[in-house]
Amino acid sequence: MKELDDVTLKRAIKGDRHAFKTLYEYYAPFIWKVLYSMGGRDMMTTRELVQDTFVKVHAVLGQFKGMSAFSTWLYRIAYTTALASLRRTKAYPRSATEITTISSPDRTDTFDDRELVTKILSSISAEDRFLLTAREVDHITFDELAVITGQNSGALRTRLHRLKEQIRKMFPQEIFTATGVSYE
Amino acid sequence: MNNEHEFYRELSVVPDLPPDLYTRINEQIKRRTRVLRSLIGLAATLIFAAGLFGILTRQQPKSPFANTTLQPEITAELQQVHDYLNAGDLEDDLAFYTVFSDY
Repeated sequence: MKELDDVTLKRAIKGDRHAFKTLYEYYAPFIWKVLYSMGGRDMMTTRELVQDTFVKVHAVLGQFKGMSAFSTWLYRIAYTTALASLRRTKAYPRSATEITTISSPDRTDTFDDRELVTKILSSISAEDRFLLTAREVDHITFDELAVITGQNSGALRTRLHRLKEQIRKMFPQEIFTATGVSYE
Repeated sequence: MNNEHEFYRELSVVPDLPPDLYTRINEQIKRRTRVLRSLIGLAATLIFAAGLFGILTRQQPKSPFANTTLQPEITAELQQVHDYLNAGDLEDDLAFYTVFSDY
């Protein structure tokens, strides 16, 4: 990920409100994406997680020492804040019938695909949802993920491999259940 | 959806970031700052009040003899000793009596 310019970052660290807004506008889309998955693809949960994350970031911004990339530091705050919040509220994703549809005028995919993704994600832990999205969607490196999650990069590779195997096995069963048609 | 590629493609589809989210974040930050400043102000006020109270209520330690009254005989003797000590050169007197005490 390309980082925000140093000048704006330093100004934000010193307490410049406008610089902090620029920082938010730059990084929030990435954080939103990963927390949307982590929060079980629920809008209200994701809003709260992103809100908590950036309030926390503002509070501890002066503690950033540049030992890692700012995005890595930011992802770590998002990860730990979201985990704490999800454990505290025990906010698990709602059933598929309660999920609001995503308006996507450029796409013609059906609601069933999104429902299937949500159902599959609801069957794995929040940590695994984060790992899957951060790696497969945001393409964060394993070394960065190790810093973010506090786990060994080798262990993360193994964990992701097993997770993808587990998800792969879910496809035929889910499709069978949803459509009633057997697949070869 | 019949393959893994579709799953990951769908995983990357997310709704847009709500435009009012930063306003909510900003409000929460301001609220948090107000609370912190109030707490710091309250702590400073309490420390100042405690210090002021300590200064105002500090008293000289009472002498154990403050409420005692001396008997008149003792008072007279003490006055005699006091007059004697303040009257002349004590060293000369001591020297004089020392000479006599050697005999």
